[in-house]
Amino acid sequence: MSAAPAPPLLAIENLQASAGGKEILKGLDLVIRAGEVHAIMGPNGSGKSTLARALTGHPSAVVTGGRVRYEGQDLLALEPEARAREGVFLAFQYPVEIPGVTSSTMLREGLNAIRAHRGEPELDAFQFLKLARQKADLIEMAHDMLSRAVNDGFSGGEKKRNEVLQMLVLEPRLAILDETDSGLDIDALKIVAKGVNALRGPGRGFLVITHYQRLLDHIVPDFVHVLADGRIVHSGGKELALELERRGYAWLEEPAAAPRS
Amino acid sequence: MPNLVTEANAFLADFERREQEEAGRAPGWLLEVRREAMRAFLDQGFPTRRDEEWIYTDVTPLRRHRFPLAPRTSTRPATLAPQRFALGLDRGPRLVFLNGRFEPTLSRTGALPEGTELGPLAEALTRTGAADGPGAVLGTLAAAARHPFVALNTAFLADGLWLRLPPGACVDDPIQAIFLAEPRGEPSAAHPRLLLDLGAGARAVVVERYGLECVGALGEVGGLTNTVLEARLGAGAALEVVRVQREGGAEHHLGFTAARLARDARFTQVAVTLGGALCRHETHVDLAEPGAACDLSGLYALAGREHADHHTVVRHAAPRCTSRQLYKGVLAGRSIGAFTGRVIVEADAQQTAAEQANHNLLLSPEALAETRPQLEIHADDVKCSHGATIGQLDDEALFYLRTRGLDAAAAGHLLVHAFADEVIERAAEERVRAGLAALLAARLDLAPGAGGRR
Ligand SMILES: Nc1ncnc2c1ncn2[C@@H]1O[C@H](COP(=O)(O)OP(=O)(O)O)[C@@H](O)[C@H]1O
Ligand SMILES: [Mg+2]
Repeated sequence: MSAAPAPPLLAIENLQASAGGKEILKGLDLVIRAGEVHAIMGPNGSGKSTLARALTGHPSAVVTGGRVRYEGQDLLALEPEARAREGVFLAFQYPVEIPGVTSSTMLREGLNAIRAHRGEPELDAFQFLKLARQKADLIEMAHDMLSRAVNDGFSGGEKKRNEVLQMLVLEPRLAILDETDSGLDIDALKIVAKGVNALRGPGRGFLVITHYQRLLDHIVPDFVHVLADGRIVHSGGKELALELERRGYAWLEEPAAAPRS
Repeated sequence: MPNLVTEANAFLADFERREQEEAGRAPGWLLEVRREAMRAFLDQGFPTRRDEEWIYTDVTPLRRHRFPLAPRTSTRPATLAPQRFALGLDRGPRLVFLNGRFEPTLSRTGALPEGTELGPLAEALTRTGAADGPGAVLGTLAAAARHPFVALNTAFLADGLWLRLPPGACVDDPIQAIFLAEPRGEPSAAHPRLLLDLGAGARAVVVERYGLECVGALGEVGGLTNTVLEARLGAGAALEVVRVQREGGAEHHLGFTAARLARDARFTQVAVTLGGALCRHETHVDLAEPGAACDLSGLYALAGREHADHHTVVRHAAPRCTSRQLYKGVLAGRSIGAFTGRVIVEADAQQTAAEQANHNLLLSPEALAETRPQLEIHADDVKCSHGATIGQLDDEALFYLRTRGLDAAAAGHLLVHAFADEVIERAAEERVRAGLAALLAARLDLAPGAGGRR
């Protein structure tokens, strides 16, 4: 007897979504299998963040059609926290500042909720701190960041690094990184990539949204997709990123004229 | 008007009955103070919302009920658990009052600096005259002639806290004064009085706690607690008062706090109001001599149909005084939180720095926050600021927390605590801060809508 093949980690079919009353995603298809890293590139305003918000349940991204299955279940039917507990994580393009709530409080509550959902015992304050410090070391982050209020007064780079720290602590199965590289110098970029690569493995998938090819030198993707006007207009291997870097997006704007790769 | 006289007469009948009961026991000067106060109450009557000072609070519920004086003593002090009200303070002086009367079996004072007087006011009053001991403080800062509920408190003056610290004396542990209402089937009234007299350079923290001890299934019956605190601070003295009010959702609570600060004295108050059918707390601070400073902060967390009204009056009467005020409201359900902050800077009070802020977090669309700063500035070299905000939980922050696995309620709690922390942080004592945070957490669990999705 052969077992049915495992469903893909993420299967997006004909996803349509609007934001601010405007149609942004116009029938997007994408399949991510466990172990794969997919990069999405595309011009500003093409709907990359809207996709990330739709996948995590942000109320501003209103899904108007299509479906999204995550490990075989209907992702769009879940509340944002239920998606997180099932292993979906978003590193925000613009991380939110939350004065008065420390990173360690937020992360410990979040991690324990996720662990409880998986049937694992909760971590006490000491166990949690030990774990969080190990992860912080991995991306060369000062431990005192954990006791500071979430992103409060952080520089752009610190915020992005903090997103990666949270990802490392929560260990998602599907991690969506929305322009985590923008605003980072090359050293910070390498550190962020180190964090992502540390988590990379057969059980996990990544959706890396980026503007620049340079991140993909350090997080080498299995697939690169171009998002334009609410659809994936082109897909290829990692070399597509280099081509985009050289030629820009204009040659892809009209899908009919696009060369196959 | 005739109606009003009848209502006030309900208190008068009680007053006369008690005078007879206590005939011969209270000193003559005190009887006269009480009689004078009763006359002042009858003269003033109940305030109405037409009074400028009472526009946010309707005291009609107090006029409708008759609140007989609460029964004198508890029938079961042994079964009461004042440590429930101790804010995690397991050592230090603790005075417990049941229905406004000192309960020695639940109280302790412990070792105190030489010359300190700490104890129940009833006892201190019988030992002294009109011009010494508590008699020298009573009515000097809270005048019966100018406030109907101060008058009522004074007319029914029976017991409370008496603290005198000689110059330079410091009490390290917070002094707890715990006032528990213990209803016996019908609404009753207690009128605790706290008199604090700090000599030059003396230092103390007083935790003033108002709670409800329910007898079995009686539950909340809607009694009245009407408190007055007068604090006199000598030069360089420092007093922190942590005031926690939570009798229950049906109770009425009126509080009046007055402090007078001599040169370089500092007064800190953290007033935490956790709700009742009708709560009103006034704080009057007189920065009477140069260099005095006060820091008033308040937190009110209300739910249901609760109502809390905070009123502050800070008078800068001398140069180089500073005042800082921060009041924050967390309003769920259909609750109403009101704040009026008056700062008066007199002509001589040059180099005044006065800061006032009132911030409100509405957890439900039916909750209401009222805020009213009143600045009266008669000097020219003055730095005054005031600000008020009324807002809701930040949706983006809520979403961010939920993407980290917290459910909507837990995320809301974190944000509310973050909002409230700024007030709690102003209490100097770590154990007190932890106790206040725990009280707030318990309160939020009772408040449907706190952190829930709107
Ligand atoms: N909440 C919103 N209200 C109005 N317009 C929005 C909202 N969110 C996104 N948009 C619009 O949707 C389009 C796509 O935005 P976004 O997904 O952020 O693009 P990208 O991340 O690819 O730069 C843009 O034109 C943007 O202005
Ligand atoms: Mg974007």
